Amino acid sequence: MSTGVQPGTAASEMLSQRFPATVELAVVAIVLALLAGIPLGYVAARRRGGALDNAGVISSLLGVAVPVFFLAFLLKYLFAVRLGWLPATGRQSVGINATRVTGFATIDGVLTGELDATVDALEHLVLPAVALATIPFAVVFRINRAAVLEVLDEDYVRTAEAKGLLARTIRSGHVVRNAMLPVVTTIGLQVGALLAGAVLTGTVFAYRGLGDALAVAFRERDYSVLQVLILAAEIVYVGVNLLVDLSYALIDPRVRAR
Amino acid sequence: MTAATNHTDARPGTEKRPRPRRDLFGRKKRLDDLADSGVSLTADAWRRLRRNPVFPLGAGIVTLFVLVAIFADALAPQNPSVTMLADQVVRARNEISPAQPGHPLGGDQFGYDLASRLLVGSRQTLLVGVLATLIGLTGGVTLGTLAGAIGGAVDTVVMRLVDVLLSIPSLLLAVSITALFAKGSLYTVIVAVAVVQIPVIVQSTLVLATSIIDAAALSFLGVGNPDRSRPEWGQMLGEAQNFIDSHPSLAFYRAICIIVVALGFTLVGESLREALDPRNRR
Repeated sequence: MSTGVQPGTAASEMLSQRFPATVELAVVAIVLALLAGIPLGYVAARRRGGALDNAGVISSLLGVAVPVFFLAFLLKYLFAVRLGWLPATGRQSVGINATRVTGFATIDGVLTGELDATVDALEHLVLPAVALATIPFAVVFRINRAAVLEVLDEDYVRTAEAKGLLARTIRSGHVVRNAMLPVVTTIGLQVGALLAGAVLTGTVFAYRGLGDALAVAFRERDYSVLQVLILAAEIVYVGVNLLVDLSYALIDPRVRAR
Repeated sequence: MTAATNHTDARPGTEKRPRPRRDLFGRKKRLDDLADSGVSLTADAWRRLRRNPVFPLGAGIVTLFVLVAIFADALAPQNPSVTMLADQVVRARNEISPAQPGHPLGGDQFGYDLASRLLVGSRQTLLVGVLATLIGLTGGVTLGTLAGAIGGAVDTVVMRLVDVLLSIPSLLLAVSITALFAKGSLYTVIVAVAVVQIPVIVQSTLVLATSIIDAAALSFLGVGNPDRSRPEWGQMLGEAQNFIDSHPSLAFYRAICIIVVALGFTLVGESLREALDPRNRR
């Protein structure tokens, strides 16, 4: 009864094809969210109530309220269909025939010297990655903003200011470092949101990763494929959260002491 | 001459006092209002809630949404479960009728009046949100209380179960639960959306917003509620995906409804959290 995603393909083979694609997409999306969310959250907290703060808060609230697949549709419609700046679907354009080494399209192009393949892969990554990065961005922004606000009120920051430390030193050594802990915690949780988002946007962009395969498997109620894919997603999710827990020790010496 | 008198700000009467800046949630910098102590938590929270410029907006959206859901039948310009007869022919060619007198937003992909479907759909949307939140809340609070109060083996079992729920990204879990049922219905959607909220019961209004969006996601993936006699926004938006290139307006109107309502619940939830957080009391 169940036909599978590609009939006749072993689930393990499908996994090895699609897993690198999803990792690539998720890494780019998380990096985008962090690059935008952490500095903006910091600046918004320092100039609380200012225009940038209000704009950031509004966009982060919207980021949570907009269904991610609708956002994916909007991005695709605007930048691919209307403006034609970026490819609408897939991982690779027709005519680009990249050699497969690692399975990561962007890295393979560099390794084999086929730079046009790398550029092409990056172009295909932009829209799915931006769509996926929205929710993590909104969450990272809000959490970092709240954490910085919290830390700015701490006695040790006032002490550091009182003893005349450079603003730069206080910023990097006292404020940002202490505000990092809740942000790092949320990264682990956001990976879950990313995996779910990949299921929802995978079909929109026909990005052949785990998400796309999961969406088909759900629709077909293909339980054996579902088990493999969900297990894979879960291993990634739990693994990232383990790494996050371990990284506390790097950031906070108080954790290391125990 | 001391350093202070050199400083222009230090002249009497012209001291540069930090302007109490408020952010969107009406929070002031904490040290500015140390004077307000000696008020009960509730009174204090209520006072901060009323000062919060975001709260009326969110509360307004939520109130309007609930009113629309109650009076949907009276507001709907057409009967939402009767197809537009004049358009039967058009519908046969898989076209979507444009806006016309009596049908302010035109028809949908089945030939129903879109505006009426949207108005009536608010009911199921509210039902999904409220029921999923209530079930999640009851489950979460009961399990948490049991684990805390009895302790020992019960605590261990409950906490490990919650760990299992938390180890799967919530939407994947919700979709898996609905996929277990041979046929989707409004209630499988509610149960699935509720179960994944159990571990994260922190703020019920925020859960309401996520429930509505999660329900939309389930329909989008084709495991939602297939019953068209009781339309629901998430289901409607999910079904609009096939017409996104030819008729983006179908998805657009439905998405706007979901976004505005989810935003309303989020705003109310956020301002309640701000107001009730004891750390903001000063």
